[in-house]
Amino acid sequence: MLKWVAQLAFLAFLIAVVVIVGRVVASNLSNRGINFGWQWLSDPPGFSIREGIDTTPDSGARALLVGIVNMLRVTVAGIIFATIIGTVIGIARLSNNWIVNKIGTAYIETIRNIPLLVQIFFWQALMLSLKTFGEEDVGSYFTHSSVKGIALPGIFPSDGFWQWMVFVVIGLVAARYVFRWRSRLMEETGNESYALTSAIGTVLVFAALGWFLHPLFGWMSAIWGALEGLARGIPAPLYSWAIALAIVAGAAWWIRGFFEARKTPAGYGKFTDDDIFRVAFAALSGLVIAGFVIWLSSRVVQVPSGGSLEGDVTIAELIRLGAGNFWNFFENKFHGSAGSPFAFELPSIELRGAGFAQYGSESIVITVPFFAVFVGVTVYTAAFIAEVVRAGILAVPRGQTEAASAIGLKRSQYLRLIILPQAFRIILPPMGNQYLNLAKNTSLGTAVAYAEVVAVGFTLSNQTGQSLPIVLTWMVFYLTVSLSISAVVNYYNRKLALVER
Amino acid sequence: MSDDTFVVHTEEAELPPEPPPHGPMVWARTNLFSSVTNTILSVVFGGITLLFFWNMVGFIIGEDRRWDAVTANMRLLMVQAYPQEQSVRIWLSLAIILVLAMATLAVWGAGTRLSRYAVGTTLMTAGAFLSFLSLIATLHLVLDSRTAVWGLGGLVVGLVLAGVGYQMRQGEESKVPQIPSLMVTAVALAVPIAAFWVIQVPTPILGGGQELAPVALSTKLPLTILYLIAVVSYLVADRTIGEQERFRGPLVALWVLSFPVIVMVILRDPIIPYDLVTSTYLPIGAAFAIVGAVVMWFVADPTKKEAGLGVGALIFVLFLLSWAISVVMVVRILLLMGALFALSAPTFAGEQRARLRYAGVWFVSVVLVTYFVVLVVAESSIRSESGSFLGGLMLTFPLAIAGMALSFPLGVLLALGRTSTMPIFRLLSTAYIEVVRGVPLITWLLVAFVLLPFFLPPGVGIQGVVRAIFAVAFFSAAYLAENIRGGLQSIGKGQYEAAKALGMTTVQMTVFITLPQALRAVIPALVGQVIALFKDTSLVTIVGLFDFLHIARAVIPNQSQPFNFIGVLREPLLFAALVYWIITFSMSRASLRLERKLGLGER
Amino acid sequence: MKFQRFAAMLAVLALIAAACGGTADDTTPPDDSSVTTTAAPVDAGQTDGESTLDVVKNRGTLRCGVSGSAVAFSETQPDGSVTGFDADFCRALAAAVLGDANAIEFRALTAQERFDALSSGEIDVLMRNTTWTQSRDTEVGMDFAPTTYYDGQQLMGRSEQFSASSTLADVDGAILCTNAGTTTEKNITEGAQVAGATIQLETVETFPEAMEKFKAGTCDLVTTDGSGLVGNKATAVRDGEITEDEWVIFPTAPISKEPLGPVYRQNDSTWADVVNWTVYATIIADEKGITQANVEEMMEVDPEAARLFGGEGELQTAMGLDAEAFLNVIKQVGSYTDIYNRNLNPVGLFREGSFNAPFNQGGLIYAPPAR
Repeated sequence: MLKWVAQLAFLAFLIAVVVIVGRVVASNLSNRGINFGWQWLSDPPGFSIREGIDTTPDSGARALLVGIVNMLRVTVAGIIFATIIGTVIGIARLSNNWIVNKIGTAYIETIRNIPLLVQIFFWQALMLSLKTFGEEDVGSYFTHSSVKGIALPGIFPSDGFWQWMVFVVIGLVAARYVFRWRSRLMEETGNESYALTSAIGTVLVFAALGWFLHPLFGWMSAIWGALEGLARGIPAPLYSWAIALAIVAGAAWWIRGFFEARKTPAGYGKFTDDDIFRVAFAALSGLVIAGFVIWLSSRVVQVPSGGSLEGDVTIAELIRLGAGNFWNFFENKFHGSAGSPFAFELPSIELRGAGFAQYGSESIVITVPFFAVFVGVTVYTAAFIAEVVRAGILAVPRGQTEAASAIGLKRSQYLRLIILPQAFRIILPPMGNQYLNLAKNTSLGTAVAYAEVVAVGFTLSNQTGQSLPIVLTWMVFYLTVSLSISAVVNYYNRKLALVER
Repeated sequence: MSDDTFVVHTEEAELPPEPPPHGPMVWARTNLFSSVTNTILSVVFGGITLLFFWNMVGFIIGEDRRWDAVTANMRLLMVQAYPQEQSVRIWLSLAIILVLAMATLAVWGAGTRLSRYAVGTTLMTAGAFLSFLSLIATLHLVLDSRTAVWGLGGLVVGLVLAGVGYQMRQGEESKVPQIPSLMVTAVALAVPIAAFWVIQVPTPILGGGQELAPVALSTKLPLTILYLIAVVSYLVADRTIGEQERFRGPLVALWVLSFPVIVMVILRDPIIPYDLVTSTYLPIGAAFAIVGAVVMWFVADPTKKEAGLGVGALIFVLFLLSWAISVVMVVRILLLMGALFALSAPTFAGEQRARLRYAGVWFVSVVLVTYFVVLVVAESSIRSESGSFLGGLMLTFPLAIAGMALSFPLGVLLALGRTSTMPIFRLLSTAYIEVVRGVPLITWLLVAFVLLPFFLPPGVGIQGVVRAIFAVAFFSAAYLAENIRGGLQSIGKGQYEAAKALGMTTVQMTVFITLPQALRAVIPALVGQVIALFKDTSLVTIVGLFDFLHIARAVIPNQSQPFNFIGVLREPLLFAALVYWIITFSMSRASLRLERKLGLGER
Repeated sequence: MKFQRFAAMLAVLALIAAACGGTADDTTPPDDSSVTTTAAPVDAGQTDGESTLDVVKNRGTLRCGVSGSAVAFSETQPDGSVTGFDADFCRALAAAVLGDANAIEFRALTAQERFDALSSGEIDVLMRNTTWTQSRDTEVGMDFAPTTYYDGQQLMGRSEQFSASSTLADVDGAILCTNAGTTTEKNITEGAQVAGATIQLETVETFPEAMEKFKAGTCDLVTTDGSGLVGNKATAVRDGEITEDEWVIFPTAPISKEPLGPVYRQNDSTWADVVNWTVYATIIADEKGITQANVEEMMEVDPEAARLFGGEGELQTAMGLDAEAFLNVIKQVGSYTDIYNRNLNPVGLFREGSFNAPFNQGGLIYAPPAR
């Protein structure tokens, strides 16, 4: 009783504070003649962006999207490379070679103890000490590095790519079955059956087949076309109702799971206030969010002319448009005779505009800011990952190794079958933390002019004065990224967790 | 950013192998060339290492390096605009901290004993490394046909050190631990101090160019004195042997007190308005202290049961009402404090002695709080042109310390909230923790600097430093909360049951049983958080505070007079990296020691 | 017994604290109103109806917002002092209001926080390369003092590719670096669009970083206010990094107008008059050839100077200043030329032939008469 009074009193206090602050904000804004809104999303941003999917965005929303894609680009690349480098360094610290061991230690102790921001500045300075190039360097190269960036040869998806992908997907599904079959075989016979190798082999076989056979799938274009027609034919409000329904179903599923978990042979037992609160909160928030989705999708927005929709349209109609475009994309990709799945491009230096030597537009160029942020976060996070990996390997009890060699497993076998799976289970949660940190640390790119979401938002807020909506956008975006990463890690964590008996 | 939340220290896992009593050839064979793979690895990575050091040293001693930009701006980097004629205050603050630190080391009996062999090994490695670097430097200098005297000097010193180390390793008895590790540290620190009197540093010349000049007396003399003070105060404090226990509590209290005293009194030099004190603060403080002490004595009576809650609620209502009338700020602060004290009175209730102690704590707290409010209200006599008396490294440290001090209580509350059975508190804490952790610190700093003005009533501004402290503290609190939650969850069920069996209330159980254990269990994680927070303070440069990094990257490359340092960016940055590294590395080493000493992780 | 030793330590700490705490013997206590309304970390702004002039006089120091890291306009020196063109106008104002050019506290502000610092009362006046624009004058709640420096955005490129007569159309295909400001990115993006040039714009945080990238060759061009370009080029020439004609600054007519001057809060005409006339006083002194050195003699000769710099001085007292307020300005800080030459000549900016020449020499620097 007293507990609930205290909680409700605190909640009331908090709401009162929010209301008071809200009134202060409102009066401040009207005093300064500022109107916060979302118009900047569709207005031209008034600046161009150095790199990204669109260097001259025509709206604020598009500019932010460029920033988001840039941020995701450096995050994904960073996670991959940090994992590789971190694992190598972590194992190096366990090496019995003196030099390798000391290099690993020195790496970790140096990198971990210098603020990341300083390191990012350092990598930028390093890149800026490279040479530049001019008209005399025009031509094609295999790779080229200069103060304007590092140009690398690139593999691009070409005409036949999507048909080929059908083969790959089929291969993946097949590989799954192959993996299960081989694993079962090993459990039954006790003989090594090379489950992973066979699975990878299966995918490769399908990919190789697809390289020659992929034009066979041109007919799928018709399926995508039919789906597109369907998507465009459904009344727009149905989309919002479907999304709302999915949210409610999700809440219901969670509640069902909650009761399921509480179920014992003796019945459900007594529910505490807390349990009732959880269920009520889940149900309520599900309904509220679903309601919000329906409300939001009936809102009317202004769409600039030029597209298939013009003028005042509801958000639901935009969603329908998006669904139609999605299928249309595939329809177009599968159309007609398909060429090879990939195109290979060498970097080049060409003269542009009024005669400026630049890397060709087809080259894959790692720009100075990208390099600074990417190398910065990768090297920094790798130091932490190395410690995680080392601790994970050391945490596998010695007895496991001894037992493995006692039953006659070879060194490679017991590493692969005994040590690594157990170490992986220990490593995973802290590794997830490191990935989260890496994703958030990319925001420091704003200090070296990398056009990621904070930098773009910052410039936008300078131009439009809409600081509050832009900060809100940042928060929603970063929370989405954080929650997605932790959701993935939690999923694997649960999958790998020991079954407690 | 806060990456140290999951630091794994497994240093002690690799015990130094019993070294074979053979020469370097045997060592090389076992450690570098034991197999074909190992030989290849050694050659390849040895080459890479060599190349790395070759280029690095070449860069550092390059002829067109502007290290004079760093030396000329050393004051700026350290204390920014703190008036030069007042710098004795800074040295004094450092002396106080050093005395306290040395007393702490002595009273806690820090430090172990090392064998001559171990010391010799370290010395030999350090000497070899120094001569290796000096050799590279000498080669560079000779190749550039410049005078190589400093490089040769370094080479000689390195060789001598290595030789001494080699000698120390000899003999059977040399493996018995007998040299106090603190003495080794003291001697090791004496080397840089002595070096300040010998070396020459690049110094800019008015009108362009640079020359080598000795270190300024205003730098090396105070540093030497500080060093001597540290040694002497350790030796004095060390004489308390056998009675250290009694000093521990007071020492902690002194530490807690020292930071506000140093920042608010010594560095800020307040001009205390005595007439205002006698007319306002003294009477208010005395009234609160005396009346409040009686009230606290009354409510800390176990037979009065929940009387404290009623009294606390009453005082809290008074506190809320006090905002409706015009009253001196200190009254509101003291009312809020009174409410908190009264609310927690049942927790600390007990016999006569406990009640008196509770009233006494209240009395002392009121006196201290009133004193600090007076200090804050009083104007500073330090007239520095940049308005704030904090800057450079002297901003970085207060940012980190104040941020930590603020985030700690908040983190504890959040952790308790998140593990609480009260759903609304749990929900709010969880939401706070996840939202704050999910978004990068730089966003929160931008919120504090760009958005905060909209949230404040007109005419109220908060100084940038304070904004940064709050942003860092609120951010760090979320991480701390997660660490502490881990500690709380590691406590055995038996502890709770035992506490319940003794008839403790939930609050008593938390304050006296679970929280202390949880905090002790997570000390390494907390230290890791301190280190992360220290590194995170460098982000304030993005919002334009004049911290250490900002001066290095934005201020120095913009100076055109009296020396022209326009565009000099790499040297200050490298220097900043070095300083950050030294500080963070020492902190992480200290935390390792602490961890080993507490015997954590060894159950 | 050991406890006594600890008590002694405590006493020593207390003694040190007491010794360092100054006494109030020679200072006036802070006025009671500020104490009652001031929370710990909060600086009280002025209460309604009280002019900033009274606030500054009561406080005894002027709080002046500057950049703190803008070459020649406000630099932080190795000893922590702030110098530069903007900083000197802060000092001039302090000399006028308080009689002491050093009774000043500088606040280093970023471009984003400067207006909030002003409207919240954290600073009394803002002298941070702030461009006078319609929206700032009307929407943001600011008022602008007369322009102290006429600037305009220009571009700097290498002479192999550009000449002084180049235009925005010639930058097609180039990579440009600029510093994150408020208007620079917009100006160049829109300007290039109009000229039909496709550019890649790299927006770095501070201008030294942009210059670093330009020198290294990452950027083909660099763009910012003309003063910054000239200053950076001049220092590079002075250091022997480049020869005089290696870099060119163009177009001759800047692509934007950037009149820079002091900014103060709206609706405070007492304070506005003080700031405006401090600027005018330096300009008038300049028109009459009065400098730091000869101000006393000139007052004997010139009646307007006598009015402005003392003598009768009732115009100043009517403004709420000392009769000798502007004399202090000239004596302690100097005339417009003094300020300009002291700070901007070393980085290669000269008044002759620029917009900042006196009006009678073809420039725009002009002041109303003092009478």
